Amino acid sequence: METAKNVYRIHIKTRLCNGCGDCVTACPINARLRMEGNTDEKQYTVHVINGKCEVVNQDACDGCGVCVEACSTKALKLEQAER
Amino acid sequence: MYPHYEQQIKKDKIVTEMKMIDVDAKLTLDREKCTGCAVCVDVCPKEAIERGPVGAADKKLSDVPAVLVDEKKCSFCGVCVHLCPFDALELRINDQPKLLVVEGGALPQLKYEEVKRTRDEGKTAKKFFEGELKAHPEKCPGGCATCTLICPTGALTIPKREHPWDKPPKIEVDQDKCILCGVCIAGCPGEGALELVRTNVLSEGEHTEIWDKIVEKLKTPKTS
Repeated sequence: METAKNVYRIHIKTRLCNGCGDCVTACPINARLRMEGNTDEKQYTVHVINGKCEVVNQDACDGCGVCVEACSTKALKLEQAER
Repeated sequence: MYPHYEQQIKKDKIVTEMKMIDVDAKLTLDREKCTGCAVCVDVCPKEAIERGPVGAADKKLSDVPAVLVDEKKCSFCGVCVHLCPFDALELRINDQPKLLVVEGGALPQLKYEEVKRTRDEGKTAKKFFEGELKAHPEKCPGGCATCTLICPTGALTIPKREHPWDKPPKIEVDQDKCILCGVCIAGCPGEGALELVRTNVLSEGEHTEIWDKIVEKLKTPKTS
């Protein structure tokens, strides 16, 4: 799969994140991995670790923006990466 | 120090600028016309353009643009301007719209049909590709509908289900409406659900071997 890596990145404001996991279930990349029966959490784009959401695999992100839409506390944003 | 590079990212446009003592080249991307199809990314001879979060930019969920030009890599040749199907890019040299690659005969004139964009009224798209967009519904996870939302000409549809208890239906392609731009490929988060095969780029007039290279790049099949 073709992904863009250098232009943007997922940024999570940990202070605002309540660890609900909506973004983890909403992410289509995670969904595909789960559909294939892959339970390796290191391949997930975002995952809830110790009650807070963390970016696990930035390179897998395709920039669809579903996680931003799903986040109820507006903690998750797609930001421009520094060059 | 010359050359001086500058980039301004505004809400409606991105201006990439190179200033030299007697030349001032300006590449403007109209963010409202741009869909994020990434034809410019494929075509750029310097690989200066990179794709951003196409889906998120389309839904206005992210401030990051769908495509971004690296001002230091860009040579301001105008190949992307000539091949943009949505006329979103403009190159101005000393404040005059100028395309030296076309005037100099390196690229031919494109033979295109104007197609109305169904999503944005009053905006048009150019159809100059020939080929086919194949859908592989068995690989589509179903239920995200990004491709149907993002398609500028309404070629992709999800059929209505007969009964509410049926499984969500998978994607369908209308080949007549499709302009083969490839936005759906860039936006689809699934793997291999859509396949784009361009067989020809319609053009007329003189050209050099640069054009053959560009056509070859465009013809390589792309999957989501």
